[in-house]
Amino acid sequence: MTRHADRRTVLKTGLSAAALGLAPRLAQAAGQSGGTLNIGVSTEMNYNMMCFSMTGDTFDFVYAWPIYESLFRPNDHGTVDPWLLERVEADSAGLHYLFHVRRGVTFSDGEVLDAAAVKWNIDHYMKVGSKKTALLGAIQSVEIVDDYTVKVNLSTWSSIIPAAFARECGYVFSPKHYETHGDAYCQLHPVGTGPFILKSWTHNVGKMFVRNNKYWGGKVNLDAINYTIYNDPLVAQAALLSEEIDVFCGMPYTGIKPMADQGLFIAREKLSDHASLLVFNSQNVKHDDPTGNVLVRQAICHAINKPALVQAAYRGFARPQNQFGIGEHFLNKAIHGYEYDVAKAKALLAQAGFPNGFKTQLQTYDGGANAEAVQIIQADLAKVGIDAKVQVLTGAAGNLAMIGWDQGLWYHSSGVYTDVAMQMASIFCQGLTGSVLGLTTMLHPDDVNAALVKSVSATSDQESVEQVGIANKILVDDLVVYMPVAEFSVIFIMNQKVKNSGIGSTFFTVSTLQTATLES
Amino acid sequence: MPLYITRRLLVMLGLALVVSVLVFLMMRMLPGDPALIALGDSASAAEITAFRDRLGLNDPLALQYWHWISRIVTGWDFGQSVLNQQDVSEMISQRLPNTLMIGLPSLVIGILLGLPIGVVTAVRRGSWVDQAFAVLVNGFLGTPRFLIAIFGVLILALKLRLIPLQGYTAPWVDFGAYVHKAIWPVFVNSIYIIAVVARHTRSNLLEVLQQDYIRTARANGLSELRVILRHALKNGLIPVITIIGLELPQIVGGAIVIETIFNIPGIGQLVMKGVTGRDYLVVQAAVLIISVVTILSNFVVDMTYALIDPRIRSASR
Repeated sequence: MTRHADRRTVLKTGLSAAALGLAPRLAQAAGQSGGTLNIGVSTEMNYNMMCFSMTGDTFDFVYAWPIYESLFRPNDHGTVDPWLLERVEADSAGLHYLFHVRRGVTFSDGEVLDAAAVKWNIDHYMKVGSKKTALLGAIQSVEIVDDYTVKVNLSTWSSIIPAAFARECGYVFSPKHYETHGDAYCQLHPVGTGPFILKSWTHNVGKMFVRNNKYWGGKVNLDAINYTIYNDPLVAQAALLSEEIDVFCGMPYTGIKPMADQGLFIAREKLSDHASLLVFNSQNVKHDDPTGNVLVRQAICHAINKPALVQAAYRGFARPQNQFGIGEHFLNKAIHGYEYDVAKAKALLAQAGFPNGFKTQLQTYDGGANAEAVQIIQADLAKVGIDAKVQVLTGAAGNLAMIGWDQGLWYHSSGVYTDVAMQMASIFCQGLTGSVLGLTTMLHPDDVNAALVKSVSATSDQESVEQVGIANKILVDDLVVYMPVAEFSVIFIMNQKVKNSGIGSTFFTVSTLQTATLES
Repeated sequence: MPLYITRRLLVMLGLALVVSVLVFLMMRMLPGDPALIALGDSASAAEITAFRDRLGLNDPLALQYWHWISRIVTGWDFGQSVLNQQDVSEMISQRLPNTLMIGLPSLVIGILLGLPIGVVTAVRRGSWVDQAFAVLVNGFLGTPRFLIAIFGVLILALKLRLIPLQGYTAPWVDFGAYVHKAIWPVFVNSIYIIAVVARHTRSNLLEVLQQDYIRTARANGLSELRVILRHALKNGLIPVITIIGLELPQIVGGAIVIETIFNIPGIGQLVMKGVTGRDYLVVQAAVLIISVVTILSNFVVDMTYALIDPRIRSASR
């Protein structure tokens, strides 16, 4: 996927399609007004909350479509555009951004979105938001310049601020609603600027949203959006076929083609949004793990038939990658990776002192194609004498193991929210704490850290891309900290009668439900 | 008898306390930190620590247990969910009726169908009726419930459109919708009970029908129906009451498979998600309630024995 516009140039000029007013006031689509769009999902929200502490899990965004809009939003080209902002000015020398708030935007409670509301939201997120340190750590203060202008002051330059505000960090809530009712109430009764209002929420069952008749963006076609949780994929398939639901998110890969064969539409974004990687115990704190040896890691990369693995595990809905990231904008073509070569793998193992292989463990979190992928990897490793015991973990055990899996390998799928620099900085930099991939198991080299710090603070897109490329080269080719496997996107299965919903069109975090219609 | 009951109540209380300690410790022994699930990735160590502090998860275990149990005893306060900050007693009180509205009808249907099947197959032992029901009962016992549930969904819901695919409406909200949605989950939930009750009734009745007093009753000219209903069934029911008593906790605990497939917001689903998410207080509260029901149902079963069987009544004096 090639970008059509340099993203920092877009921001500096301060103009975008959104600012020209094209995005929010889309022409009314063909199709009937009214009706309820029924969306099926496979799980409840991660934290069961719809307020500031959302964790940014895939389903957090899917549930947020009807009611929340963010300061920026992703576009088809892999960059972000101002959305609730009219335009943005970036001053890297002055260490600040100027956010010009879009006029005419209102919350569903009637309150106006202005500079004060934007400042309140950013300030509040900086107090309680779950990504405040990882993504917005450079923000020092927020000032109101005038009624519709906010100045975001930084301690150091950070180019990822717009991308960060294109995700849940940039969702805006009604300050008056929050201050009137308090946090506990707002968690279950959120008020955003979106085209729908939350009417009811039965935990682990479903949610109902009804039309916001005062939506600032114009007429909303649908009467309501109804979310229902389908824990069992077979029942979900039956629901799609019987038209009990119009859209489903969370179908296992095995269930997607049968739905396509039945005439349902498989919505796949132009830009991938997830990357999967096989991560090694490169830190090897106890000095007893063969995967702590770079020759062994190289051998493992050669032993795995990546194209076959991706095809088998992802059923054709992913493509092999040779570096962390999505799309082509950050691609470093100098990275060669490791081609499938069993003989070479065995030779490297012998050179490393393991001519007969060794025993190890291969863990992953249960979700998506992870369980299938690790079984295929296990089989490939067995061909070179590596006996990998597979463990598929769920829930809290999986989250804990992700931080430090003690030894062997960890298979990971990571969301990548358009900006690869942002995502890599939150995973591979030094000094990270808390719930971070491989915090106690993966090497965080100085040169990688330096490159990623430069990428985030870059004042030009070219510099950011270059530094990400340097970091990936070291991580993949030189030190083999991880083996990139695939890039893929969240898949939505849709009834053909759903039109202009934007679901699965640009990026999974956004949709255009205000223009959605249901053809009869 | 009053002394017996008092002793039993004290034992029950002790058992409940032991269970509370066990479930408290078991949840904390499971690997995984609920704060990580709650806060997601990219939460810093400081944020995770602050979250745990706020919920008292960094306190010593004994203190955590004391806070939990004393709040329950003094104020019936089960605390707040670690994951979503909701009041646990409110979550359980919302879900328990849903579980009971699936479980209780299942139990009733299980008994109403299981008993007659057991009686008929015992009386008509060896006949084609007995053989046919044997196949059915063994089929029910041997087939996983989720398979029958899914099969029914695909045939009855998708193909024939007789029932909805999933979902639940409380009977007090819309009784017609409740019946329409619950009919299949209730039936699937009851088939095991039908099979178990039928089988035990049959085997017990067969034994009772061989007794001398039954032969005497027949010799005295009583009709077969009277012999069975008046003389045989009462004695044949004692083990069946045990089975019913064992099923009561299952009803309160919720059929996880049924609740998952049909997306019924019940206790089983709540406990399942609580365990995977390490939502300590939710799981502890639910398990405590289920164990109290188990203990109570055993007590009720014992008292029922005493009512039915005078020999047991005399022995307890």
